[in-house]
Amino acid sequence: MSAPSIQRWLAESIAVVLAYWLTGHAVMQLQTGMAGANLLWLPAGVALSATLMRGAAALPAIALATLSFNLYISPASASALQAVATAIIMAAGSSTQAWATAWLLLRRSPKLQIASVADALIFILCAALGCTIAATVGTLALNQGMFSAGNPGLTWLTWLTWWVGDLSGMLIVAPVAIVVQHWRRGRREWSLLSLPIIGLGCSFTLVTAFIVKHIDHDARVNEFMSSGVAMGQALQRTLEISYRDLAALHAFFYNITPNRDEFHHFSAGLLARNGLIRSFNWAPYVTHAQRARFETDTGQAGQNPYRIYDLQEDGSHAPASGSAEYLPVLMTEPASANQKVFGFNLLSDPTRRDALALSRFTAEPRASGLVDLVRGGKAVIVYWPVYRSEFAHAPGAHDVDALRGYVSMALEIGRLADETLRPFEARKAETWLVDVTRPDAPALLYHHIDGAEARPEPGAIPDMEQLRQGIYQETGHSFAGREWVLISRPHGLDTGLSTNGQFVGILIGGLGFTFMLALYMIGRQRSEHELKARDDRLMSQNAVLTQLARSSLTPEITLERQLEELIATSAGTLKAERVSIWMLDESRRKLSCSMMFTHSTGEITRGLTLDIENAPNYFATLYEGRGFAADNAQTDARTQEFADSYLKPLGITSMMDVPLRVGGKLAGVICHEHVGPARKWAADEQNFAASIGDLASLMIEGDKRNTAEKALQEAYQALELKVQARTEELRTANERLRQLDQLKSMFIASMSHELRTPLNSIIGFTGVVLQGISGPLSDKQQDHLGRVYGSAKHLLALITDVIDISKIEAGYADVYIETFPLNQLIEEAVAVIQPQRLEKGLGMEVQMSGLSETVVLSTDRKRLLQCLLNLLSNAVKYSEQGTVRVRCQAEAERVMIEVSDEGIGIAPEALAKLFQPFERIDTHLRIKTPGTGLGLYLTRKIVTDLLHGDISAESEAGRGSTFRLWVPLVLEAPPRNT
Amino acid sequence: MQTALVIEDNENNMELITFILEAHGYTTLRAMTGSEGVVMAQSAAPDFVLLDIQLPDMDGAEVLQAIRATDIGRGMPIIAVTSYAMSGDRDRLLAAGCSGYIEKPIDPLLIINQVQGILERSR
Repeated sequence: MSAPSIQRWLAESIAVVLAYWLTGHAVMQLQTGMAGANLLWLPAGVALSATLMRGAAALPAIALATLSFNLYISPASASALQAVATAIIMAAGSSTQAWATAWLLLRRSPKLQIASVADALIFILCAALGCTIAATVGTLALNQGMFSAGNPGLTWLTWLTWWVGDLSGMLIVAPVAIVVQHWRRGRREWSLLSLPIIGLGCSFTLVTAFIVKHIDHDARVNEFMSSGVAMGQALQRTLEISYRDLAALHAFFYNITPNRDEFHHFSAGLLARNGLIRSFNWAPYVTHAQRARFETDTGQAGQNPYRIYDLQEDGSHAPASGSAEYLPVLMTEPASANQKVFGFNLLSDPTRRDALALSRFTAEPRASGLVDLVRGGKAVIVYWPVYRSEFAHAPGAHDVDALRGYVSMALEIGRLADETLRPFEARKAETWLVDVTRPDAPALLYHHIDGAEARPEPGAIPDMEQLRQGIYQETGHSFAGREWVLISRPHGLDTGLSTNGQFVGILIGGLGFTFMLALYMIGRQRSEHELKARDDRLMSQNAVLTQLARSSLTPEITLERQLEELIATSAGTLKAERVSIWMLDESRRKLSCSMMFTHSTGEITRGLTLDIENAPNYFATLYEGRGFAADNAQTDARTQEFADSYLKPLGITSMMDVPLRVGGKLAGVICHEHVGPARKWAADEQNFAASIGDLASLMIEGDKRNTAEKALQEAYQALELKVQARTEELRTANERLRQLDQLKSMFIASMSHELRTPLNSIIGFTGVVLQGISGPLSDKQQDHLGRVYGSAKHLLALITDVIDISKIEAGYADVYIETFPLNQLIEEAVAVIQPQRLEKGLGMEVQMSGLSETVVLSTDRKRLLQCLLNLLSNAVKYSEQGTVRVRCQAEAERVMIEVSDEGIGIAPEALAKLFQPFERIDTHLRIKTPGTGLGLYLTRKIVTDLLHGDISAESEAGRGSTFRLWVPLVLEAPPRNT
Repeated sequence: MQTALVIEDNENNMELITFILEAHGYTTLRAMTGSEGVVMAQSAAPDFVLLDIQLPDMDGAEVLQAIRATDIGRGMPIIAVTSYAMSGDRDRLLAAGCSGYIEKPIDPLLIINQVQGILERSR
C-alpha cells in the first residue's frame, strides 16, 4: 500500500470511528433503551455502510469503534474484567454482523444496484438476516456478563429489541450511504430513492411497533400487579370471615359447654353461611385420670362405644396410649360424614399438636400446617382454646386446669383458594400460596395455573427465590399465627410474542404504507424519468429529422448516399442494432435488402431476400400499408415466420418496420432490428420510425422525379438542337433561294442591258430615218416608222423599269446621297412634265407650306426625282382636265410630297392592288395611255426600299386621285450589299 | 468645220453617232478602242471627243485621264457617253475632268442639241 492510500485509509477509519461514536451517543441521548438493548441503533448502520463502501479495510475501524463504545457504556456496577470481556464479545459480534451483511448484499449485487421495490426487499431481508448475529451475541454477552441469569422472557425481549435496533439503524443509514455513493459515481437515477424511503419507513414502523408493544406489555404487567393485590385482598377477606365464624363458635363456648344438639344447631348455622369452612369441632381437654369416666360418660350419652384413639404413623387407628392428657374430638359438624373422627385424640398428630401447643400457650387461635384429615383430604385447621371463664381474661395464666378444650375449624385451603380466586382466572397467572411461617421451610399450600385442567400437586416445597424472579405479585397474609404468601406470576404473558392488535396493525399498516409510498414515488419518478427521456428523444429525433430533410434537399448527394445516411442516423437515434431497407421487386412478391446498416460495426451490407411464400403474414401486414412494432419479434405473429431462419440466428428480439411508399404504392420497408433483451418501442420511437419511412419515401420519389426531369430536359435540349438544325437548314435554303433570286435579278438586269443596246440602235436609226436626214419618206413610211419608233421606246422603258426593279430586289441598286433644296427638285420635276401637261391643257399648282420652302434634303436625288416624275406623269396621264397639284410639307424628320389630280380616279377595289406590278387601272383610257405597268410598283420599291420612306394613295373614282409620299430628311447611307 | 473624235466600240452606235454628226456638218474621226482613241486624240487633235465609257480594253476614266495628260488633250472638250442611270459613274467622270455627258440611248432628235450645249458651256 502506498503512502497516500495509507493516509486515506487512516482518514477514513477515523471518520468511521467518529461517525460511530456520534450516532451512538445521539441514540443514547434519545433514551430508546429497552430491556438492555437499544431500539434504534444507528451505529449498526454506520458500520454496515463503511463495510459496504470499503470492504474489509473498514473492519479494524469498526472493531475499534464498537469496542471503545461498549466499554464507554458498560455499567459502573460491572467489574473491569467483566466489562472488557463483554465489550470484546460485543465488538466481535457487531463487526461480524457488518461484514456478513455487506458480504450478503455484495454477493447479490456487486454494484449495489437498487432499482426496484424487489431489490429493496432483498436488501431488507439481507440486513434482517445479518442483524441476528449481533443480537444473539449481544444478548448472550449481556446475560453472561453484566447481569446474573435472567429470566427467559426478558432474554428473548432483549434479543428482539437488539435485533430491531440494529436493523432500524442499518435501514436508515446504509441506504443513504448507498445513494450518496451512487450519486458520487454519477448514477443519479430515480430508482435509487426507493431504498432510503423503504429503509426509513420500515425502520420507523419496526421501532414504533416495538415501542407500542412494550407500552402494551408494561400496561399488562401493571394490570397484573394490581389484580394480584386485589386477589390477595379477596383471600384475606375470606380468611377473616372464616376467622369470625370460628370466633363466634368460641364465644358460644365461653360460658357453657353445649351438648351435641346445641353444638349442631349453632355450628350448622355458621356452616350454612360460610361454605368454605369444612367443619367445626370441639375437643375437650381430658386428663388421664378423667379418661375412663369420660369415655364411659360419652358412650352413655349416645355414642357407644366411645373410645379415645390415636392416629398411627401408617394412618390406622389405635386406642390412645396412656398419656397425661388427651384432646379427643367430641363434637363435629357436619357430623354425619365424620363419624370416624369421634374420639380422635388430636394430640396424637404431631402437626396438630404443634398448633395446639402454640394456641394453648398464647391463648389465641392458631392454625396448623397442612394436615391430612381423618376422613381424607388436606386442610388447614385453626384451633382456639377455651378456658374456664375466670381465666378467660387472663390468657397469660397458663393453667392446665383452666383449659376446657378447643374449638377448631378445618379449612380445606385448596377449595377455599379456588373459590376465592376464581374471579381472577382471567389474569392468566400461575398462583402459589405458600406457608412461610418458618422461612427455612416454606410449605406449599396451594398451586394453580389459570386455565390449566390439571391441578399441580401441592405440598412440593417451592423454590421461593425462583418464584420471586421476573414479573410476580406477592401478598402477605397473617392468619391465625401463621404467615402465608400469595405469589402469582403471569402465565404466558411476558414472552413478548402474544398477539396484540395494535402491534400487528402498526406493523402491517406501517410496512404497507411504506411500500405503497415507495411504489408511488418510484412510479412517479419513473414516469417523470420516462417523460424526460421521451422529451430528450423527441428533441434529438427532431434534430435528426431536420438534418436528414436538409441533406435530402441537396441534389449533389446521390439517393444511395442519402438512404445510407438515413438508416445509419435512424439506427443511432433509435439505438437499434440493425436498420435495413428492403425493396419489393417487380413481381411484388419478393423483398430484397438493398442496404443494411449494422450499428455496432458501422458497416453497410446488402443482398438478402425474403419471398412472400416464406412470410405471408409479414407481407400481408406490409400490404395493409401500416408499419408495426413487435416488442417480442420471435413470438409475434407477424414476424415469427422467419424467427428460426433469421431472427434467432442473429439474436434479434424486437423489430419495428415502416413501409416505403412510392407513388402511393408500397415499394419496400425499413426494418429496425434490436438485439439483446426485448425492448418496448415507445410511441415517440414509432412516430420517429414512421417519419424516417416517409422521408425515405420522399427521397426515392424525389430521385425518381429528378431523373424524369433530367430525361425531360435532355429530350427538350435534343428537340431544341433539332429545331436549331432545321432552322439552320431553312436559313441555308432561304439563303440559297435568296442567292438564286439575286442571280435571277442579276440575270434579268444584265439581260435587260444586253437587250437595251440593240434597242438603242433601233431607236437611234429609226429616229434618224424619221428626221428625214437619210432621205425623204412617204407619208405611209413616215407613219409606220413612227409606230416602230414608239414601240421601241415603250420596250426600252419596260426594260429600264425591269432593270430598276431587279436591281432593287437583288439589292444591287445604288443609292447616291446628295444634298439639295426640296423646291429645286420640285421645280425640275414640274419643268420636265410641262410639255405633256400643256399638251393636255392641264393647270399646275405648287404649294410649299411651312418650312418645306427652304428645307434641304440629303437623299438620293435622282431616285426621288424619278418617283416624283412618275407620280406627276401619272397625274397628267389620267387627267383630261383640271389642275395637277403638288403640295409639300416638312415634318419633324421627314418631308411629305403630295401629288393630286382631278382625273378619273381609282375604283376602291383597284386601289388595293395599285402598287402591284403590271396592274394598270382598268379603264376605258387604257389603250390611250402609254405606260409600262411597272411605274407605281417601282415607285413604291424605291420609296420604301431605297429611300426608307412611305407612300399612300387615296382616290375617288371620277373625282381624282391623291398620292402622298414621305421621305426622311436625311437618309443614312446604307451598307453596300454586295 | 469642227472635227469630232468618236471613241466607241459598238459599230452600230459608231455609225449612228458619226452619221448624225456628219449630217449636221461635223467631221468625224473613229476610234474603236480606248488606246486607239488616246493616240488619235494626240495625233489628230480633234476639236472635241465623244467618249463611250464602256470600252473593251480600257476604262473610260483611264482614257479620259490619258487624254488629259497630254498638252493637246488638256483643254479639249470631252463628252462622256454613259450608260443609263449610273449616277456614280457620272460623278466619277466629271471629277476626272470630262466636259459633259450624254446618256444612252442616243436620241437622234436630241443629240446635236446636247453636244452643242456642252460645247458652248465648255468654251
